[in-house]
Amino acid sequence: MDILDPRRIRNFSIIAHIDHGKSTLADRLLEITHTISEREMKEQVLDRMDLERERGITIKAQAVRISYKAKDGEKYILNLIDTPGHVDFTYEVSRSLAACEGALLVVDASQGVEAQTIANTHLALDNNLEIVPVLNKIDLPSAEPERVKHEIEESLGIDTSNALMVSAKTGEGIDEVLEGIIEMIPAPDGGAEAPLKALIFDSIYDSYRGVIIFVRIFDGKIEPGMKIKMMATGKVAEVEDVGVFRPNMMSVPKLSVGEVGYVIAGIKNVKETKVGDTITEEKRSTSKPLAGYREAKPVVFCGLYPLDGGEYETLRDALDKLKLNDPSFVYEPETSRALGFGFRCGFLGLLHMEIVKERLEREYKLDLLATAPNVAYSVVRVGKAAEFISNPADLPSPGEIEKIEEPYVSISILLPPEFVGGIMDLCQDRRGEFKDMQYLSVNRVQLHYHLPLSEMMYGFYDSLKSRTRGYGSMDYEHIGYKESDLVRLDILLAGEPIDALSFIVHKDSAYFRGRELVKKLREIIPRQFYDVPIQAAIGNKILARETIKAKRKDVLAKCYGGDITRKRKLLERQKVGKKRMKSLGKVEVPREAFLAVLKVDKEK
Amino acid sequence: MVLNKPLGLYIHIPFCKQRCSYCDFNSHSGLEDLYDQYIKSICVEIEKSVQEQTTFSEVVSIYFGGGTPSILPTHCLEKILTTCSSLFRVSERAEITIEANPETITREKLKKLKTAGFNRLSIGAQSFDDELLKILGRKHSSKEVNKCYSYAREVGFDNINLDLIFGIPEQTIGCWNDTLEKTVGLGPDHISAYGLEVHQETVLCKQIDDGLFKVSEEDIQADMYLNCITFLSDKRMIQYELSNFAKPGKECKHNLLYWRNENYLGFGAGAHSHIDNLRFKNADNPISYIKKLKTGQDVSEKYEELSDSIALSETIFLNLRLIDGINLEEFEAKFGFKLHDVYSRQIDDLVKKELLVYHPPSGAGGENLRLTKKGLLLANQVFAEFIPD
Repeated sequence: MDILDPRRIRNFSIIAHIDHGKSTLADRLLEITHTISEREMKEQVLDRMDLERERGITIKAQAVRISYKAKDGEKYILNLIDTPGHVDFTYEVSRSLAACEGALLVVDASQGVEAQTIANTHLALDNNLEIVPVLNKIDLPSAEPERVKHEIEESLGIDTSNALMVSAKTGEGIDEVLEGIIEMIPAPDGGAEAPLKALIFDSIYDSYRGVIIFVRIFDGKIEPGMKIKMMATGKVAEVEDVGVFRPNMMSVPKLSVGEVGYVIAGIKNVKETKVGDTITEEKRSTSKPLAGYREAKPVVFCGLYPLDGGEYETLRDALDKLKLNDPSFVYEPETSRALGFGFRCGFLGLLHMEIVKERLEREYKLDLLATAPNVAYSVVRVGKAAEFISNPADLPSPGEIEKIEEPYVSISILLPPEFVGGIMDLCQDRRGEFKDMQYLSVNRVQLHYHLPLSEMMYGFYDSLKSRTRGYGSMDYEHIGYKESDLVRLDILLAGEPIDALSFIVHKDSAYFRGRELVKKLREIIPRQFYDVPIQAAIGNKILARETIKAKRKDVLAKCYGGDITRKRKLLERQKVGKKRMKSLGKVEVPREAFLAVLKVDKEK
Repeated sequence: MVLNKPLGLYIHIPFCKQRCSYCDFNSHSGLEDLYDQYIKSICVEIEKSVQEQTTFSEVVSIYFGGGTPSILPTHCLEKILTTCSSLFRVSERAEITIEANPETITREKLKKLKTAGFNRLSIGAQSFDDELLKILGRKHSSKEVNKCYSYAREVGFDNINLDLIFGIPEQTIGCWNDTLEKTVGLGPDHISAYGLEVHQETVLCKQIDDGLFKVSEEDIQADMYLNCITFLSDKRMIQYELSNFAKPGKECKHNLLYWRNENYLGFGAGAHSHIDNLRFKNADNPISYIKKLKTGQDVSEKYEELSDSIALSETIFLNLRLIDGINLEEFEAKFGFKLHDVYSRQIDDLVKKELLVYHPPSGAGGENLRLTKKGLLLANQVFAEFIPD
């Protein structure tokens, strides 16, 4: 293959708020350019993991190379780099964008600008990308392209005079999108003969080929046999194979300046190929690495325990394997008095946590018990240095604590003006600090608050959605730690403190949370052989108490004409149901109980 | 089949005028045209079954259950009974029961049944509150129960059971006590008192889901059950099983066969049989039952060979339904090991929880393991412990 003329390459991403049609548009682009035959065409091809397709979200970044003969008669290579659509994975979005020169900004022509539209546009602008506005779903009767264009101009300051009008669903306007990419997005530049400089924007672990690194070449070229170096980790490796995504991996002799593709270099752990790192030549280093990479830090933690204690080793193996592919998640062994041996795991966010848990259960056939998620607190003991505590059970007693800090986020909420009052109340209830409020257009307001991350974790998004009848959207970023007046609330079952149910809460809401949680637990935990008191306590002080009354009647009266089998089957089911519960002392507790704290609604 | 083991016969009549709202059992309405063919088929099945036997146990009980067996004309019932008596070795003292719904009964019919050889009548009274009978979808009133009962006495039935249900939606404890008093007032020989179970896909279940009625709460059901036990024991009706009470000597022989895990053969659609380590069950649908017999096919659909561990656990949870519980000597004689050797953990735990207790038996030496009063209420929780993994 000849060296590609960079002038015939376009590297772009698609950015959008969730459900605005990003994946459908990507499908159409692949279809119309015959990148994928119809036979191979599955709904939303780019979302490869089953979980992604089921949940309709993109978890890992993906890339695909499209060949396109433009109306000017020239052949172009268009590299589409898909980005994860959830705020848990913001860092991956930003690295994917750094691999491009431009982005299609997809906005639903009836929904208009949403919080993630703004957040992602800002990420794209930070990366100096050319932004091509695309109004999607113009076939819908409720579409209001003029209003939405106005909103884009007002809220994002982006010229919409040449905005593209499409319906990814019907295929209308897709040709114009392809032409628009070529006309409006700049071709890559860079030195073909300069030392190699390539950005790692993703990496995955394949059990046959090792780590597959997704790269964008900014300078020079990369080909098999070359000795390469990861500038941040210092890892040196020899290139075995390079190729492109069409969308399946296809080997090519080399990747040169401006191209997007993959590199395989006999690396066994994705830890050594950090997203955002720069690859260069071992002998001839590029003078300056690309704008830095940072480690994605876990912010949400929970305990994962095998329901069957004998599965501990299986769980550890599963975590080890999963980690190969997902360096952003961390874990370490922990022991709970109530639950036995397990792991404290850290995630980028709640969605990330759910996904990891689901993958472990699905791919490794494990039955897991998850404790309620919490944030990591910075705790200073009297006369000591600050330490991070990611398990509420580890919080020292109040007397030993000099101060506690908790993580805060800066949250941006977009909503129609009539709901502002309700949302300000919500943020107030959640210990939010008002920062500012801005009218983006007559019917769209942007609210800006600082909020403890823990307050945002518990049902905040659901409340936002219900209080704005679905019209509100949000985005957030982490802004560091602030001191708070926090206490640990312990839960006692039948007089025994259950460490796995402890959680940390602001002093002012401890009483309310404690009371609501014990009520919830009374509903969730089935009646037992004995009365079981449930108590919420801070230290020795009991805040709330409920009693699960002893089970009184569980007996099958009739014996249907000698049908003993039916009776036995029923008893068998009863026994299986019991096995799926966790035995804490003499109390049988269903798994949901450990997540009950999430269901305590602040708003009753 | 071991020769000297007792044997029971069960005849299933899967027909009803109309299904009751709580019923999820094998019963059908509107199949009157099938009666004749169905009776013929049952007789054919009995003949076939006898031909397949190599030894003959003594039949100690014949039980006509339903559905509504009393819906059939007497000559049909008589024909089945005659077939049984002529082909099996039926004990002279055999208990021969028929279930009857009050609205299907006349004095004349009862007289014929008595003459035909039925010596035990089980009346589906269910309640003496007419409103509750309507909720249950029963087709009779409490007045008809009284009438049916006095006819039965008049024609000479000296062994009468009344079936009762408690925990009916809208039923108060007062209502239930009233039904108990009226029942005892009649002076039956036997009372079965069942807690209502609301099964999926019944009319009643849908009505409860639709909010028409409220399902009776666990605590109320427990109180009703306890009231029943206390009240009936005061009236010298001895509780001998979880749901069954009888005057001394009038315990239902047929049900005792089930609970002692003895042998029984079931005839008719959906009927269950248990012979030694084998359980089997006939086709449920009366039409396919008839068709299978006509075409010479096997009417049994499900065969289950009981493994030792399943047979063991069934024996335990069936025996424990009896108030006397498991006789440990008999158990050891039957299985060749001590019960406690296999289930020490479970038994010790359940004894500690006061659900099981060791007790000297009413009769011969040795010890029994039986449910406590608390255990009676939580019997399923106890039984589940003896189910193999």
